[in-house]
Amino acid sequence: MRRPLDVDLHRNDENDEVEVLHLIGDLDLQSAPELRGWSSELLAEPADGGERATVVVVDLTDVPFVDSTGVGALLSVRREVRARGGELVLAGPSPELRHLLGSLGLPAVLRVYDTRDDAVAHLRQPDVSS
Amino acid sequence: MTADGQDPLRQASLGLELGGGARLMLPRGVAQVRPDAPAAVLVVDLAARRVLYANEVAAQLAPGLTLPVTVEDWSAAADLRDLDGEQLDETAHPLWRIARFEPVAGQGVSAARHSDMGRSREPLWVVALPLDDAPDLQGRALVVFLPVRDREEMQQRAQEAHAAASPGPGGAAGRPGAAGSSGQSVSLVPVVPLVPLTPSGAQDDDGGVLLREAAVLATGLSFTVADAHAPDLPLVWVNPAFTAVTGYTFEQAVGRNCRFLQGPGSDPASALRMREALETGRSITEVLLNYRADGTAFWNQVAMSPVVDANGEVTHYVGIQTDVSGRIAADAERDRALAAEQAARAEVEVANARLRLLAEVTRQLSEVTDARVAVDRLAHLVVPDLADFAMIAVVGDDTSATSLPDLRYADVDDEPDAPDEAAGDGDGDAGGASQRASSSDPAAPARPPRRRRGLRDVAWWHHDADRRTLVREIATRRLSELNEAGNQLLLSLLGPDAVAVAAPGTPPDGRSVAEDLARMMRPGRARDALLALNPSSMATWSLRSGGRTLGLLTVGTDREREPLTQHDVDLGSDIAARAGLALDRSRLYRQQRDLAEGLQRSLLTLSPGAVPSHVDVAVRYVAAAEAARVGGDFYDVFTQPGGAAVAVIGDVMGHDTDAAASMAQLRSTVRTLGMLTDDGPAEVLRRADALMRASGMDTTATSAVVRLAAPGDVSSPVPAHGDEAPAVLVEWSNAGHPPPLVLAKDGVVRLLTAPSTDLLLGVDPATRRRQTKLSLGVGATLLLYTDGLVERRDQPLLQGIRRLQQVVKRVAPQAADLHQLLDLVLEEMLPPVVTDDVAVVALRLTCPPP
Repeated sequence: MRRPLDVDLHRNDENDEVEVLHLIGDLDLQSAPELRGWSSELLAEPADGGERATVVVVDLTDVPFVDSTGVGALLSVRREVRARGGELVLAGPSPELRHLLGSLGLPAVLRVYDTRDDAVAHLRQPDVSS
Repeated sequence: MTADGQDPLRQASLGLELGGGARLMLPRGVAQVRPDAPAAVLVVDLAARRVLYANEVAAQLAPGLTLPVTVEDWSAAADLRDLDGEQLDETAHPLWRIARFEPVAGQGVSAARHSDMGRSREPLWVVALPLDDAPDLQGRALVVFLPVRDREEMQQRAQEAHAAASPGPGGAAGRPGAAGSSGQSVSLVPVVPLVPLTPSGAQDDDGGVLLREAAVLATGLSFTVADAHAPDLPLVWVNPAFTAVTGYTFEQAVGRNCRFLQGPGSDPASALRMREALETGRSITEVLLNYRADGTAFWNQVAMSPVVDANGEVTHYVGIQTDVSGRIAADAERDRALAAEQAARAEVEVANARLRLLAEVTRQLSEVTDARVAVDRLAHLVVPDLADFAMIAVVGDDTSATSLPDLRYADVDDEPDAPDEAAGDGDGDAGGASQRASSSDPAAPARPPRRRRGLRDVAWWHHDADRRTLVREIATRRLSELNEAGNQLLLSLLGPDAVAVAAPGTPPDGRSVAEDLARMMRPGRARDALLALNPSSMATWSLRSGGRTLGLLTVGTDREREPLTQHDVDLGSDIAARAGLALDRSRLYRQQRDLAEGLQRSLLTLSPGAVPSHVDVAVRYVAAAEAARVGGDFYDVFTQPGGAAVAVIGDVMGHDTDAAASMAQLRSTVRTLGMLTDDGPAEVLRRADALMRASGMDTTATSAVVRLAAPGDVSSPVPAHGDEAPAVLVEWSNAGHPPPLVLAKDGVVRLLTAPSTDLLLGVDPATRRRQTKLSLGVGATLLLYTDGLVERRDQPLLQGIRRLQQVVKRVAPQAADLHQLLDLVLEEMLPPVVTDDVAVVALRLTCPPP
């Protein structure tokens, strides 16, 4: 049945511009508000006054189920990240989620990688700001 | 462990109850004669050393003999030996001893036992007594071989007695057999220890009784001989033990029928059975209540056996009597203890059942959010555990909802009376019902409620279907047929901790419960039904929460059932308290859902004037079963200035009031943009997206817009599909929404899909939006729907869409019109519990050829 959502935030080092938001559990009607809450908290200005991450990878490898409300929450986080000049990408979606994203027309504006490593490796290359 | 290494349980279990409460611990290695088992009886002529008479058991013990026989022959036929199976010598052989006029008070021997299992040896306890005192039995002796209960069996019986007696309270009080009997009634008499007891530590591993090592208990045995030839079977001999037990001397006893031992408490049936057995020459064992010479009573177990002579004619009756008062008392005590234990267990069981019921009520009521379901469940839950029938009335909530009267059309409390509709069936639930919105206004104003003190019976139940009719009659009418006294009672029940109990004894003048309650009612059908039901008791509790009375719970017991006890009434109070809280919660919940759903429905109303004339339209909106799921689905159909029909379907992401508000805003945006211009679907969506961004709407939404060209404007750039039917131009654009479905007139089903889907609204206003054209024949049907119809946790979107295509194809031939088509599709596609709201629009091209 339903798995409650949990979240892990990874940042390799303080100067790394790539932050990984690792979600574990179902991203649905019930957990979507939680994701919004966490994202604004976790992605806020670092306490040490360091540079804020510019790219956020949402790792969906351990998210078996995402409904349309969940996608709405992801888009909401994306809007926040973009509002401060960053970018949000997705990694490791299930085939169902990939289809859902496609049916919403999202591949046009939202980059999706097969794995987190793919995403991080690609994003660390120079000139990926577009 | 005990000193001698015996199993303590085994040791303890040999303790036997004695009359008067004392316990006698039997040492290991004790055997007991069985006066209740058939004994072998001989009458021996001492001078002639011949067996004259024998009973049937004796004949079996020494088979193949014809009386009279010598004691030697009889002994040989019975294969009498000592307990070790060795030959008895002359001094030890009991028959030889009695032949020497030496009374044998008791001696263990063994005889061959013939059985299907082969030959074995059976231990016997022999008593041999001269009958010299008897008038006609001079020179004769009575020899009785009594079976011995082996230790295993004895132990088992002792264990049973111990186990049965131990749970009960100790003490001798109330032992029936002990009353009125002196110390004489203690009937366990240790008899002669044959040999010293087994030394400690020694084991009898053979498991059988070893009488030679055992002490023998003979329990107050007394013997009598009655003359079978004399009228009325007078006693001709009794032994001194008879005198000791009964208090009657030899002289007092002899010459009388033994019925002189009977007294006022004796059971005539036992005596009759005994007499009938004796008259037909059968052996019989009976336990009789007999009376001693001093008038005290004792339980006498009498084993009466006829002995026959050589001709097979009964000459005497030999009685072996045992005072079993101690055993009877122990049995009675055991029965009493068992009964007490059973009663205690039953009480615990009842208490557990109550707790279970309470837990079940709490659990079940916590699950439901629909007040009507809650009260219906409650009515079923308390029957039959608490009572035979239940009725539940609820107060119509007239607080928050009064400000939104037109949103309350689905409120069950406001439905007018429908007495023939069983509220218990729960089919009045509006939550999952689809709604027709095409022709009539879906948000029709509420029908005026009919209330009695704001209270209305909404659920009732009786486990007996026949009486359920009576209960329904009472429940549907009782509140309207109360008289002044009844209204007073009702008012008093609306207060805190209110409970009214009608049980036998509460009405004065010996009226029945029903008659007493009938005095609260005006003459009418409810009163008649109450009198016909004639319950043995009834109770009513108020269902309260937060200082308000929300309803009443009434239960009652049938006339055949015991009235409610104080325990039941207390349990009912607990149940009512929990039900009150559950009812309150479900009301709040329903109000919240009604608010959201009502808002949604009012927003989804199609404007009659805006619906184009060249299409048939049907819509359905199904709200999610849970209030929190009511969301942002919307649809719309309108006509553009140029006459084209536009159908819109959309879904604002999120399921809260924000989503509902965003939905309203987006819907009116699309309508405004679409109705004022002749813009195509893609342009309408692009401009709506831009407006969303410009007005700062922080939501995303999917939407599909389909435009059907006006009649006459049939300039079809795409060839008509299939046959030569007239066609119209259809243009569509899709912003991330599930693809609309087309059902052609010939039954072919396909989806309106593009190679890739355009982006949903609210993400990037600059995104490019495509518009696709096709031509559709008249009679074709367009189906626009939201994901709630096709997507579920266990059914991915793609799979659900595929299933929808199959369902539409299958049910389409059965549907007479568009409404029926939608009903059939929803019936097939919706899960039993709708978890997401669902909006569906169907359009059918009806324009005639130009």
